[in-house]
Amino acid sequence: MRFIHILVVLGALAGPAAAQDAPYHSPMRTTCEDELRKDKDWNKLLRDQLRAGVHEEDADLMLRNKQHVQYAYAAMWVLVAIFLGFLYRKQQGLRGEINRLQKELDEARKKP
Amino acid sequence: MRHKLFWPALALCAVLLPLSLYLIFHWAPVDRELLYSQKIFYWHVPNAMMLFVAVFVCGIASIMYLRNRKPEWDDIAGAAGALGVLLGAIVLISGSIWGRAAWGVWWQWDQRLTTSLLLWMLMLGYVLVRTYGGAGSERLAAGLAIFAMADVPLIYLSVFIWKTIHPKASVVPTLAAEMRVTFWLSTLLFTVLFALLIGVRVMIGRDARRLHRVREQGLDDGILE
Repeated sequence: MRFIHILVVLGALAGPAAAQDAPYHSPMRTTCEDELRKDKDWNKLLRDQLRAGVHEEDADLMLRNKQHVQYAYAAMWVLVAIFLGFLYRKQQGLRGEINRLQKELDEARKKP
Repeated sequence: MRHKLFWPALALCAVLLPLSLYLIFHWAPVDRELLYSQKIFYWHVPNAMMLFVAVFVCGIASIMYLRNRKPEWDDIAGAAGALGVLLGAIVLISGSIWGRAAWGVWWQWDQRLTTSLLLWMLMLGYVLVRTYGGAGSERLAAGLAIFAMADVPLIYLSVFIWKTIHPKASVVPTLAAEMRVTFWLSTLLFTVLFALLIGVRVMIGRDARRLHRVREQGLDDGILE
């Protein structure tokens, strides 16, 4: 009984794989392939239609990538600009404060 | 007073920036697999390299400061630390956008990405401790900078130690000649920019110390309260 179970399981596992590996054949497919071989214009038409679709997909992907590239480039320079703005403000603030204090000290020293 | 190399470095940046733009977007070929998104590589990787340099400069200057307590070392460490936060943010954001384009996700808890995030958080912690830590916080921050330095080799080696989705660092020699030239020119641009920014930030540190001296002078003379 156990031997039969094993056989059934092995058969179930092997069955679909064998079916997948075998090339698919149908009368319709054979007819189409024959027609495509005979009719060069139809062959070209189908190829061109397919090519446009593939190019559109690639172009779309490239365009979407372009947007990502632009975002990444803009993000970098925005961060650098914020950093520079921060440095500029800090330096201006420090220099202003130094000058103010220095002036205050100089005036106080001049007084008798 | 500005360093004598400030204006030549700024002029070099002004020449290199449009040149790198031309090379990245017009001259370098589009990658067959990553298509246009591969262009992010030309500023993501140089910024990551500069981040590592910034963290090492910060760590080494911190060690020197802890050894001899010369404020000049602390100025350099503080400047490199602040720059580390900026570069870390650029690397993480550009990497995240590239990840979205290449892998379809904004973020992945990959070893390279996670250790990079950890480094950025350490550098942010360094700057926050220095800014809000009060008196003596620069010594505490110096310890943090040395700890952050230890994370750099871990980030670099993460792609070799663990199985990660991030590309390996050894990709540069395998690039096409035009891509390699573009990459190294972009790296030169960011190196000069890094040197410029660190120079400006060091000057701000010096101004802060000057202000402190003027205040103390005023207090000593009894002029200020």
